Amino acid sequence: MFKKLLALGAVVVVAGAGMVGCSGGAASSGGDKPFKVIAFTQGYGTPVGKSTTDDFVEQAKGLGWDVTLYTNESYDPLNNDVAAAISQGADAVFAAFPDPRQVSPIVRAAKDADIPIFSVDGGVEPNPDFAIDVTTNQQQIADDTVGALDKAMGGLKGKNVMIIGYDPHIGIMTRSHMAEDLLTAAGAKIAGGEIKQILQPGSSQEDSLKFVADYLQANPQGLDGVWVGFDHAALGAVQAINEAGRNDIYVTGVDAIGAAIEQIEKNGPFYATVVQPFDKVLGEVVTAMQAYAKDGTRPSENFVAVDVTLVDRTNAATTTPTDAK
Amino acid sequence: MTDVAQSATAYALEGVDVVKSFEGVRALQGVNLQVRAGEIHALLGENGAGKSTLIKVLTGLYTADGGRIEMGGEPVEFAGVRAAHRAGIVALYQELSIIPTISVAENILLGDETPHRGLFIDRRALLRRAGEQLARLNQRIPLGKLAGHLSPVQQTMVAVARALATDARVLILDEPTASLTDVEIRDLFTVLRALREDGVAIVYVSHRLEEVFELCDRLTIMRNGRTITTRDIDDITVDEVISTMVGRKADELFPDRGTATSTVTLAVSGLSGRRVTDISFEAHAGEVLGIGGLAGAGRSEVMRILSGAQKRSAGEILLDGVALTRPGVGPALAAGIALVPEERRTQGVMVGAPIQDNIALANLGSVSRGGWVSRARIAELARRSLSDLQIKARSPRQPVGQLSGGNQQKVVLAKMLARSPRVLLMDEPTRGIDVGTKAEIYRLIRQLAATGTTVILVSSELPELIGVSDRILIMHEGRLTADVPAATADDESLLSYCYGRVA
Amino acid sequence: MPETQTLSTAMTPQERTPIAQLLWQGGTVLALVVLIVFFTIVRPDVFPSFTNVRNIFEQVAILTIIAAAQTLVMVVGDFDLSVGTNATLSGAIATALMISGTPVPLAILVALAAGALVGAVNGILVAYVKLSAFVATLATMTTVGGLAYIVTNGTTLYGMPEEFFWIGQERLFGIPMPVVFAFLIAAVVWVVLRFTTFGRRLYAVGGNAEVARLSGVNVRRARLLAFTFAGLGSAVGGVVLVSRLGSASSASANNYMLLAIAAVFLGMTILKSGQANLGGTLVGVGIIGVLSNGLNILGVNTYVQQVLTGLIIIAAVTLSALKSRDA
Repeated sequence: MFKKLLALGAVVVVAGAGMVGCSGGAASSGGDKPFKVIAFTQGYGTPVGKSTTDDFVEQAKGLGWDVTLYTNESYDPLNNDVAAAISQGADAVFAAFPDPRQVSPIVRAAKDADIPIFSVDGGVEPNPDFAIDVTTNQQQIADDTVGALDKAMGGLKGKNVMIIGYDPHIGIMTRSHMAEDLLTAAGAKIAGGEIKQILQPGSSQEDSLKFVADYLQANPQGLDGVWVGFDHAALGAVQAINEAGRNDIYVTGVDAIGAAIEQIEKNGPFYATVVQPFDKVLGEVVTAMQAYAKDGTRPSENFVAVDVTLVDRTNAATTTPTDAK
Repeated sequence: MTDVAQSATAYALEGVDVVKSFEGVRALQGVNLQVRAGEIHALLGENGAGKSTLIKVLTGLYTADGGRIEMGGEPVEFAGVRAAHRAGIVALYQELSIIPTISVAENILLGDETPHRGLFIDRRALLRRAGEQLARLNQRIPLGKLAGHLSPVQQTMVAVARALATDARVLILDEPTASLTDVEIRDLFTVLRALREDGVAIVYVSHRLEEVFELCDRLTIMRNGRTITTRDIDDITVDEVISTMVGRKADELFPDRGTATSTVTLAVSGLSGRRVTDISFEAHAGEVLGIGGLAGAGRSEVMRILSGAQKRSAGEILLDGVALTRPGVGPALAAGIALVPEERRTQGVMVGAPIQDNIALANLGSVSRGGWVSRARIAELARRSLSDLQIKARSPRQPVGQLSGGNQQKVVLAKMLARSPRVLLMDEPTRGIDVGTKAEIYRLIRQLAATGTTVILVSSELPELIGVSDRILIMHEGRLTADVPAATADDESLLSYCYGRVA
Repeated sequence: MPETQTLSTAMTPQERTPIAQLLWQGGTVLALVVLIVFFTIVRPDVFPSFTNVRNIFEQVAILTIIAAAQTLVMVVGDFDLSVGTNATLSGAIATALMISGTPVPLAILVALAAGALVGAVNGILVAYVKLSAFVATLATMTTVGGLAYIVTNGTTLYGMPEEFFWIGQERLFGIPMPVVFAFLIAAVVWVVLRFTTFGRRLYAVGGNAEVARLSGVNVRRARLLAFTFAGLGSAVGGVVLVSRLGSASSASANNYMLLAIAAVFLGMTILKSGQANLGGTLVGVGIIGVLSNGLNILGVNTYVQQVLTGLIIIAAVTLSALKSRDA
């Protein structure tokens, strides 16, 4: 008897675990059918991904739309679920941070159903698969952060800079390679010869901590700055520098999460980060969707790159962190 | 597949002065064995006499260091087991090499024998040829059934069928009846006799002398790596065989009775569980109580329920008047009931672990203080056990798996005896053990009883049951059919109780 | 061939050159030694220096704690796939509590209790509901991982009080605290496994649960306790980790599970019995740590590092499989 209860409990727990990834959508009201949107993201596990997606769902419901959200860490099941949902009938698709290289089943399904895909941060170039993609200006991000490093280190020429990136994320990949180009063109030396890759986003802080700590072991005088593709990892680099007792090596990140801004305010190694105004980005996308919902107008521009803001010691105190609640 | 010509003087299989050494130890010191085609030839000897080594040399697992092997008068040399198979010699061991997770047909035609077209298995040919082999043995076993689901005798039959599928002309069987019931043994014998008519030469290794005398035509007795004698069965008696094997007069295999008292130690009433219905009996201090019955009668289950290893669905167990209520082996052991389980290697000992750790496992309390283990006490316990029970081992740290079956059983015994139990339960304690060690164990049992311990043992060998016990219980299909004194018991009536007649 | 020879039971020793014998005996330990020697030769100015050695110890401290936890479970013959996410969750719980004002000691206690609770759930599922350890801990791993996301709200929690950081960032006579904790936990697990009756019972259950049961060991209780302590150990690792990093993210320790299992497997190759053992686990952890640090110093690409780590594990395990087959 006890055993059976436990077994039932175990099944409930497992079922509950299985449901963590999904969430239901708003119920549709009777009468004239509401605008049905299928939303999906693979990046729900990241702070920015989660907050942007949640924002969209909130706004969409506020507009009276029928939204169903699909999230999954892995593109394969995500593609299946979304494609299936599209074929069952929808008016539009909202994609948050999609990797344009991995969503072809969804693109195909949307094409077959003749419905547009509206994307937030879906790549760094214009993409005919999306009706519109609004993203942040990666080039500007690279320029601004490299510029900040320039200021911090007192120049770029001859400086040793480590670049830490994460190629599986298309945005990070783009800007880290842009930064590499900028730095090399300015005469800086890339520490280690190539961009250091984080293995898993979950352990990014620890991984970069190890990279920098080990590198400093081997080359105590061989590092002037660290350019990191995202704040989470940048924090690890900062910690390694602090633990080594150095105050002459500078770090830049991207995303402007609370922990990063706090570090910048300490006037320590963390020199700058970038606010990617995803609220603005989202705003643009929702506006475009509203237009389409009203009378089927497709967006005039296919690709919009929104400007970003650099956050450094001058404005850290007044900047709201992107993951603040 | 050579066609062995049978001349008047040539044997199907002959080993001449076979010598085999391992790192300075001479396991075989010049063994002679002659087996004719169409005969069943028994190979007898205590454990350590060299029987297994001889078989392994004959079947190509080992290469002899001296002497020669001939088949049909032609000398042969095997580079390995497959070469021996191709020449027609196959051995079936006690631990059968049946693969439980594949079907009967696939087991019969294993490996090279599997019929195939190119890369793919020819299923129809597989079923047909496997069926043919089984038909030769007059066995109706479903070909598609998973071998693991078969009964022990069916598994033995499948192993025999596999041997025949390789066109074996010499079949060596090592303790084939160890886990078979009497009825199943009859079946096996019928098959073996049929094979004998067919001209197959069968070497039959077994400790069960009644079987040997019933089935075999001739026998060879080994001792200490040598052939002592080869005789016709009709020409020798059981006692002679025993004394030749042991090298001494083997009277008094069983010690005298006479230690039972009238004090009741164990009172069982209305005991029921899986395969057991309403068992009630009493056992006394100093008494050896034997439990007999056919396989499946529920004897082991009674043992397991008494020792806490199996759940009790009804009934009461009183030990010295105190009821045993908490489930599990731990509480039963603590109360004073210890079990030497049926399967040595899978239930009795950790084969990879040292002797002393095995003994310590059921005695953690006495070899430790406050949860901290004392190596010294473990070593001391092991030393005492090794000497008390005369366990033959290199050292207390030797892994148990390296000991002979008899010595392994003694380790299990030592483990439980170290607890000084009130009641010692033993399930088939001498199965697969040589005669010499059996006698030692019988002596130990009687010595134990003399100290006031109650010993209850399950055995499938009626002579053993009668010889060792003071009283005998017989079970049939989960119930008790008889409770009789051993002194006046006879094989026939006991057997009838086994088959259901109620005393 | 001499005809008369007394039967002796003495065994002549194996004929092998001493070097071959050494290789056979400790393939895994040898791998560690070879790695250390290799990196010392390649970067003698950096690799063997005191600060770098301290560096390595610090980098593997948390892995050591979690691998010690995993060792307990693998001694009884099971797996625990949830050690990583459990550590993450515990760290997240502690952090979340501290940020919202709970006193540090209480927050830590709650986190440890949570870890132990997860371990107990694993233990109940495996020992009493009789699920396979793989399935049960896979389920808890997923559940706990999801809980960690919820507790951290998908982001990185930071802003713990200053007094919390001594656990992960202070030094005791020059030794980083995480290393001290790792040493303590490893010592406790080692002592328990080797010298207590509880440890014997665990090994017995892992060796042959049925024999253990019939010898009076309460197998179910032993398994439950092994998993519970493993959960507790994972929680300790998680708390030390967030103290070290100064932040708790939604997946900070999840990676550790595979590495911990790898370390324990490497360690199992050292014993003849092939059973899990703490000394071996430490060697395994050492191999992983030395490899990672050495390759970083050499500037080897992280993907290549992964491949190499996997290859070394395969090599060590194969060497020892050959050894046991030969025995």
